[in-house]
Amino acid sequence: MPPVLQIIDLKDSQATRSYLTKQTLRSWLLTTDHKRVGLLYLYTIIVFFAVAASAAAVMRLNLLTPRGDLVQAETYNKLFTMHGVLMVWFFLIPSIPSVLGNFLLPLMLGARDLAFPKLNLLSWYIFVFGGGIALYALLIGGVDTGWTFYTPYSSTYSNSHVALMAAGVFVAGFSSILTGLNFIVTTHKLRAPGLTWFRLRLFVWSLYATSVILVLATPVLAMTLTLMALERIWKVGVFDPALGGDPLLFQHLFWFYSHPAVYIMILPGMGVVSELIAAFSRKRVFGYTFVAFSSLAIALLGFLVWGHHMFVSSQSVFAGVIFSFLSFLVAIPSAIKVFNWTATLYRGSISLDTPMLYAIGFIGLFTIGGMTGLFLATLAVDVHVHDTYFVIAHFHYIMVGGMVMAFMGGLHFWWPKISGRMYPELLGKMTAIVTFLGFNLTFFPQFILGYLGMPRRYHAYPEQFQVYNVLSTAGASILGLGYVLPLCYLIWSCCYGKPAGNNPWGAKGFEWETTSPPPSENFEKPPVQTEEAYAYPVPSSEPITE
Amino acid sequence: MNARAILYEQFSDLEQQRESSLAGIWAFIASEIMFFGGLFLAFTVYRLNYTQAFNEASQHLNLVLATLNTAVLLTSALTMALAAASNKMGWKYSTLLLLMVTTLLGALFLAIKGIEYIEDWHKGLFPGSAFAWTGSDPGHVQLFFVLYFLMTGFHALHLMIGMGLILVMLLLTWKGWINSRHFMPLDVTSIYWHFVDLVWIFLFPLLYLLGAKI
Amino acid sequence: MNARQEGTQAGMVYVLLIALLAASVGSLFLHLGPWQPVILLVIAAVQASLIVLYFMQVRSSTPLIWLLSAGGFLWLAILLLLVLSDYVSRSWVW
Repeated sequence: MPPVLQIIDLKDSQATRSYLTKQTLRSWLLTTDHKRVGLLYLYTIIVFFAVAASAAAVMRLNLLTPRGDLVQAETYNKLFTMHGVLMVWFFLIPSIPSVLGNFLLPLMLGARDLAFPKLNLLSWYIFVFGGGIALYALLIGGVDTGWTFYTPYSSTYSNSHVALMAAGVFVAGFSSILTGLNFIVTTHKLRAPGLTWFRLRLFVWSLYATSVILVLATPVLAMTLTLMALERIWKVGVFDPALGGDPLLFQHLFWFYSHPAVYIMILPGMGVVSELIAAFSRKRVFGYTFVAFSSLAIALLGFLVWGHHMFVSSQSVFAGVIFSFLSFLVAIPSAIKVFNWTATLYRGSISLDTPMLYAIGFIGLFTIGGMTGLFLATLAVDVHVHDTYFVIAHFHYIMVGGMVMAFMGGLHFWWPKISGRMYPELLGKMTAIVTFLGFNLTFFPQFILGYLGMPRRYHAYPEQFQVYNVLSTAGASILGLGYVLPLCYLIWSCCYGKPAGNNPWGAKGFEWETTSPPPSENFEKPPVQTEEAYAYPVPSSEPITE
Repeated sequence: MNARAILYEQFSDLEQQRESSLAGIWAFIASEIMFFGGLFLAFTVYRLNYTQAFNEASQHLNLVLATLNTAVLLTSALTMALAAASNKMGWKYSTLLLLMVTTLLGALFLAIKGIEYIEDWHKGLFPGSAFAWTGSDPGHVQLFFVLYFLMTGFHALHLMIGMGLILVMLLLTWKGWINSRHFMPLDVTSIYWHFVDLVWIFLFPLLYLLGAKI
Repeated sequence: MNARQEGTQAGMVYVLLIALLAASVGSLFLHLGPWQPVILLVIAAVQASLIVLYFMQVRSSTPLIWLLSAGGFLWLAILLLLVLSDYVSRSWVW
């Protein structure tokens, strides 16, 4: 011990009751409490989600008629770019990691806060700043390149605010990197006594794998967008073939980030689902070690498969074969997870509360999304369905059917911990079912559309596709209801919900041992882990009679 | 000597806090490696494809100044490492001196680099409207110079950030906030500074030596 | 190891680094042809390893630091190798 040990208290030490007790604007904007930062992220991403979802709504309305009567082609291009950019970088990527991850990681580790609390707050400010730039770029006219910013269109021909939008994404990227760094260090260094790696919650494993991707992939995107913007502003060649460059290099660099980013957008969801399945089956997750390592395997393999986005570019056929093969490998860890979740359900004492409904929905939708991914990873099939609605349906099954379902499930599951109050259960269950039905009605017809050959990113289409498009738009309006309802009743529950108590679900884990909402310092006294994760009592072993 | 260490509340002891800082900076450096990685990749790909043009372009750079600059930077790495070691011994004034020398060497590097840039500009090697290349294959030669200016430019930017950090460390050491017990901020700065060196160690052979004709 | 030894060690590493710099520039005079890039990159890699191991003190660090410091380089290798696999094989035909 040092001769003089000076303890600096980062937080307001008077706020003993709960982290929500002190309610001044200053206390929120200068907070270093990971729980508050998590909530700041929640408020911010709801705004971005609303804007991006409105763009999708206008697009779906436009596609009601084959001629696309509502908006012009150029406006349509700007709408899908806005939808893509905001949903990917300003909603999906920060959704579970930055909101639930921030709130829960220290709680699940039995720590007082993240390793670098100030850096965590800084990440949020950087995120808001980046988001501000992106919104500004939209307000002054938008961008029409699609979220992929493919060169040379983005760097040479587009007359929209490409460089500004790229700057917004660039800045927001640093927020991702710093969050990932913070999570990695926290998971390594701030685990409670007794909490060994194989006693960690599976959500922590998945956050760790996500953080590895955030730290190692995001900087590549930053450099790629910088190069693209410089080519645009400076008018010198980096990717432009007319100036000696190779546009495929842009695609390589872009997808080196953006394919792993797809796993940033699903791994945390898988972690949440592992938690929900265990809690509502009253069982330890079957094959814990396999599920834990499959997260890391997905993170690693996710870096080796990006070339499957480039099968129909002039990429080498040999590289295509390698990328196709590697893409198939990702199916293994993904399937391990699905099988183990299903096996956990077997003979569990299952209760179908709202979060569990979302989790079960997740498993079904993720399976469809994953399986159709195998179609796309197949070289020859991809030629047929590339850049069609098949791809759109596929990745929405993963991202909306997977990640957003998991996010909603997680939000309901931990809402009592976050707010200290219960949401209305019946309404919750109904919403979960509405979301599931609305989602399938929206996106399943798009598989058919794509297979029949309707290309993505067009504002008009031949008449024979109208039936499916009308179905899809109808589904979207139901899906929209599924998102508006929780917003209303969750806000309502903050005031009128019934007090939750420390552990409304009877679930296992450090976060359920502290009060709801937790005190600023998380735990009255530092917790110690004495058993494995999900140590639910083993049900009586008497045989089930037929 | 009254050396104080500060323990932040999320940590339970100093050892854990130190390890966390170290892990943090290394995770950040992994990220930085990938940031520069995009540029290194672009350079590698284009050099493989347009070897001739890239070699020719590279011969117009000033090899003598660049070699000198490499030596300057390596020396600054030594003084930085010594500063960190001397701080742990509790030798405040030698730490201050070494940190100052490191900053000055950084400034010297930037000055020499500046002279090079001016020379390049006058030779019409700066891409864009001022680019004046009379030899063959101007498109790919310009590509080399785009990458040259980007890579050295991003390196110089990181060097300036490093110098800024060292200046802060100088102040903190002077005030006694960094001392033999509380040394992590200085060690972290040192690691960052060495990372900047690391980038240059690869930039130098790639940009200057690969195409050199002697 | 105390800080004084650390200083001596840093001095020795520095001498090596400068010697390697001289070696890489000097190798240009040998006109090694196709081996030139290999030699230059090997020298750079040795210099980098010296800096990482001694100046950045990875050598005396915990396994966690080894892991993190190796991670960045490993991922850079993935990026380079897989992209180059495309460029190298692009002109091949079945």
